[in-house]
Amino acid sequence: MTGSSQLNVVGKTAVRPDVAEKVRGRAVYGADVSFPRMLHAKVLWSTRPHARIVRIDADRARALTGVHCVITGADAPAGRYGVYLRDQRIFATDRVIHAGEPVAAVAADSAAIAERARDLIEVEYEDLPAVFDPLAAMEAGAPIVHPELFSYTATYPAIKYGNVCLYTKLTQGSLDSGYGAADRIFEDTFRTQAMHQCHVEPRASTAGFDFGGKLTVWTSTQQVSGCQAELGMALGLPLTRVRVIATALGGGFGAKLKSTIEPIVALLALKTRRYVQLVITREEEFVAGRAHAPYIMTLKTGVKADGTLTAKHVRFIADCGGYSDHVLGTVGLAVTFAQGPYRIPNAEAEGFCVYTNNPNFGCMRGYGVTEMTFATESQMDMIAGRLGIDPIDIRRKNLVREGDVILSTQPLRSVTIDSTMDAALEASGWHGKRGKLGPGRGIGVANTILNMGLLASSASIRLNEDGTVSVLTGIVDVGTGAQLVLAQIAAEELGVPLSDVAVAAVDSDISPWDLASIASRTTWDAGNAVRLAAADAKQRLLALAADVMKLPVEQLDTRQGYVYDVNDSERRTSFAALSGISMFVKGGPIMGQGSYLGEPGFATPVGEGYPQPPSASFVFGTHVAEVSVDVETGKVMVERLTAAHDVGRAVYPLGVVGQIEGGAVQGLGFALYEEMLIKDGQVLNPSFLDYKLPTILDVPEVVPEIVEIPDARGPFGAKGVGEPPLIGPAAAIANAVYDAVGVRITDLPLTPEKVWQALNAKKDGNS
Amino acid sequence: MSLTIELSVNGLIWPVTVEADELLVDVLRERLGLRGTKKGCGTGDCGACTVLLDGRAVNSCLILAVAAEGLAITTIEGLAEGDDIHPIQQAYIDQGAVQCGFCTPGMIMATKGLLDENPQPTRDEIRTALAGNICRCTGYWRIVAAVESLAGSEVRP
Amino acid sequence: MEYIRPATLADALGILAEHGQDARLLAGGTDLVLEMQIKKVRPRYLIDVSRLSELRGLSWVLREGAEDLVIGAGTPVRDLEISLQVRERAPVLAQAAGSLASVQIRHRATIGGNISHAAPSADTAPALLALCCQIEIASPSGRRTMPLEQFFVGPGQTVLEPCEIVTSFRVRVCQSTRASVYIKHSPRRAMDCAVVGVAAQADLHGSRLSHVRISLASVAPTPVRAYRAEEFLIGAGELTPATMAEAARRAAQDSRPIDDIRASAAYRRRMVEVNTHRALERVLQAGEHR
Repeated sequence: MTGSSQLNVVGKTAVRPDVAEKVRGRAVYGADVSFPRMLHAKVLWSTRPHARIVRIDADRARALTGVHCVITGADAPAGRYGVYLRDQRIFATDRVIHAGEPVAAVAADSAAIAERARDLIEVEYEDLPAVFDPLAAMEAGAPIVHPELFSYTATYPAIKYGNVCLYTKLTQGSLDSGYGAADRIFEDTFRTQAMHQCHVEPRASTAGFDFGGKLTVWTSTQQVSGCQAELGMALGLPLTRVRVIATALGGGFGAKLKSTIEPIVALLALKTRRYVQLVITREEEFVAGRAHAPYIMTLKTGVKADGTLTAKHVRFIADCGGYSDHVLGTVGLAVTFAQGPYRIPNAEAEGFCVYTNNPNFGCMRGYGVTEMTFATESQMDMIAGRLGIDPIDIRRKNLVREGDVILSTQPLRSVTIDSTMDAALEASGWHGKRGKLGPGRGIGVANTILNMGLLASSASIRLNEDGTVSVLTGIVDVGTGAQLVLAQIAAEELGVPLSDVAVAAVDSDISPWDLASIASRTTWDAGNAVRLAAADAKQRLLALAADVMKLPVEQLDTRQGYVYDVNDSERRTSFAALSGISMFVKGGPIMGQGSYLGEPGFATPVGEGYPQPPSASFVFGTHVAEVSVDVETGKVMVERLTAAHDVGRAVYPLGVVGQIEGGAVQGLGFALYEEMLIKDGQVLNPSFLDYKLPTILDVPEVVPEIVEIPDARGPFGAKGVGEPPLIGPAAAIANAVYDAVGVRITDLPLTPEKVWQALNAKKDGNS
Repeated sequence: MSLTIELSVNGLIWPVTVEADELLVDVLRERLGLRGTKKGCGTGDCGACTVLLDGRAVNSCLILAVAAEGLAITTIEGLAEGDDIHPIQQAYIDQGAVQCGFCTPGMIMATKGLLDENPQPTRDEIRTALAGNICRCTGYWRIVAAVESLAGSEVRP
Repeated sequence: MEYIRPATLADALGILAEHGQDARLLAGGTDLVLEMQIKKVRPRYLIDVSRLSELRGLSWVLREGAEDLVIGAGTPVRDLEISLQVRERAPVLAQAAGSLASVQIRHRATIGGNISHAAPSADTAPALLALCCQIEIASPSGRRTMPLEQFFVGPGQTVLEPCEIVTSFRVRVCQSTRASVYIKHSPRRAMDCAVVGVAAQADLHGSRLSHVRISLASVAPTPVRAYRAEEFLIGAGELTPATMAEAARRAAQDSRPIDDIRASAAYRRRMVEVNTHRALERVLQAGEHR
């Protein structure tokens, strides 16, 4: 295992290759793409949450000058597609099942004309009984959102019924004996809100269909391979005739996965045989996006008087709205972490993904574990309080250890939670503050656990004629600096200066397959693939060099773009020279291939519920929040958020800081400000005025603590950090609020009015 | 109603024919090809479309192009010529203040508006000046560090 | 839609005389341009008054031993926020101006536009009311003035006729107006509409009070004065913990808030009380530091 002192590139200061363009406003995002004679599209979304489409009349729209095409469900392929369950179509056909479902689309000479045309399309709806609450949707007699649910193809065994499109259950040990061994049993319910990813760049896609029958789509996406696959499926095209090119991404956070608007714009391009561009407005992002679902979680936990946890049952219910999309996967993942980072040998988690006529939800950074963690970490404090035990002590007492097996049946690896707790408590000054902060002020803690590594990545490396190195991967840099991280890994492994390495943009015609830029997996999965590819290229390089330099290959190594004799470093040959020989004299151009799938098979038992892929490792974190509460108004001010995250090894340290600080502020939004208000299936606050994102004036002091305990299975020991920073704050803040003013709020966000009501109730209860 | 107007953008005069209801942000992007200015919300709530109008930061999504005639418009493209880089742009790079980069042009223009008026702002003044610019990636502190590094003040580590 | 940029106020009034019914006035545009996008309205005539220098600026006018500040309706809200004179001598107005949205909006939004748009949550309205504001309106046939209280009719509705334009606001500025404050209660520290806004000003001698104004945003169909609270304090003649608490309670009674997505009526009513109390405390403190 290479010690950090021997690393030349990984962990060192470096400048991202993309920022020079970005600070000049020259990076090409989705809406910046432009082609000659390009048409502009607008989509007509359903205004009704559940209705039969009686009639669509687009005659007036088609007659408008400048309109080239109006399409509806009748013009689209009838087949269904989807992420885990194929329940989606490009347009609604006979029925709409959520407000914001695509009903028709227009392509016109300008966006203004397209919008006017769209407004001329007449749709007659006949309302049908609708259901807006997942608990009501689970009851017998509820309106059924997908009557043909059983006919849909699923990537998981068919445990679906009524409006429940996924039921999954994981069991470990015996709940009965676990509760039997407990001195107390506590059951608490938690609710989290629909939250929008609010990527500042709205979705934008441009499509062109050439006369050879090939579709090309330039799009704002985190998932090129998946978008390509879904387009192929939705349009009935082989993947050799589907090309997806990632434009610079202005934020995704889980909203820009698989395909969302791409099939629509592709169809318009097919019909018109022109380039067509669709840019979504901010209001449409709220009304017709894939916001993060709301969840209801009931935790029933058994504990001994001394704080030892003996049993836990979790009921985890997700409202996925009209279509299952990624929400289904969040349920599958979240239940594997029902125990949190705590040893609870008797545990069971039941996950439900439930259709309603609410807007079509998707996923966000954290993928269900954000919510599960809010519930687990809130309840840990509640249990501690009820038993009269310190919240740190109860956690330490029950922390998982290396090799502990969790509900997914996976043994935990790279368990560093003790270290993140140490770091966060130290940096926050916990022991000097807890119990000593004065009225209205409090401090709270929360631990996080998450999987590290998900499915596969591949990469290839090409040695160029001049000795520089090109890296091809399928992973989109969503703005985190992944391009730099992968270049650093390649440079380190190959032994070239960082400045000699370039990572290409992602284009499905050229780039190898990658799952997606999600799940904190980029550094680990794509990084490992790149490292394997680099190692492969290096091996070929050394074999050639051995031949050229007439030395045994064991005596050779690489450094700074040269292959050299380890016994006499003056004897060396440049990569450029070797490249020339390989290209024109013998062996052929030097390339390296890397294909990485961390763990084979499935973690959760196949044949029951949801087959969660296993993770190669795990990451841990600890957050400490310091708050002051204005008891007269209910406003919670977070003074300081300390976030300790175990990253194995920080490949690009400034990037790690960026992830921690940025994620912490999203976590702050989740905890205090952000909520999509949905009533009768309609979004009441579809704008940034009333969907409240934290501004620069709202952010607390954020103290990032980078904990580096290398995991040998990661590239140079590195693990990812994309999601955990968002997962920690909510419970830490809720726990701090309880410490400050003695009110426990179990549903997010902690708005001023909600806290005020809780404070009043507490006062009334005491009088 | 179509009007032929002259827009002064980054020191150059651009004659352009626009509809009376066309937004400045759209005219900059679509007619003048200056796509550095971004559209994030269209309601003046995110600041991604920030340009300077006679030196003052404004949301170009809430300004009609015709209403901007004759005023000096500065966009992100106007900050640096050729190989040059403006100190604000360099500071954003140095301090890691750029992640996805979509909010960056607007953020930089708001920064320029601030520093041109107040070369040594306090941290509170920096945050007030940038409160109309939403960033979803960075959590803002790297941006504060970038501006403080230009303000001749103590830079947040 | 026809866009016209008149060179003088008189020209603007001339156009209004002919086309007032079909015209909208464009000042900063931060409300109108947004409305045009959202509601897809296109007035027949768009009259751009943003460059009329006659409508811009702050001037100080002596009057019987006191001073009035005359604010041109076309003055950007930002100018009120940063004016050293306004910050020192009428802080309630600078604070209210500075609480509006963002710097980008404040560079364009004019005080005339903010008031004419007449949103119940308009931040500058309670501040002006707290300073005994008189609003001046011009029409082709002349001018009229009225106390600002009479200008608002309902949410988004004023007494303004189609051919009229707000020209200026005259507010009272004196030693006593230094003891004035605006508190905006909202979830975030920027970019929000007020859930509740409270402006307060008092003429104090120590804690003895001879004149007081308390006005509220977001708790009625229009910005309102808390008359009962004011009357009580005049009667009491003094700011003490007890009188401030009672005035705050009465201010809550003076409010008629509704439930909406931002807050419930009950919460708003209580926030009127809490923030009126805080505003009076700060006014008392400001008075003591003179």
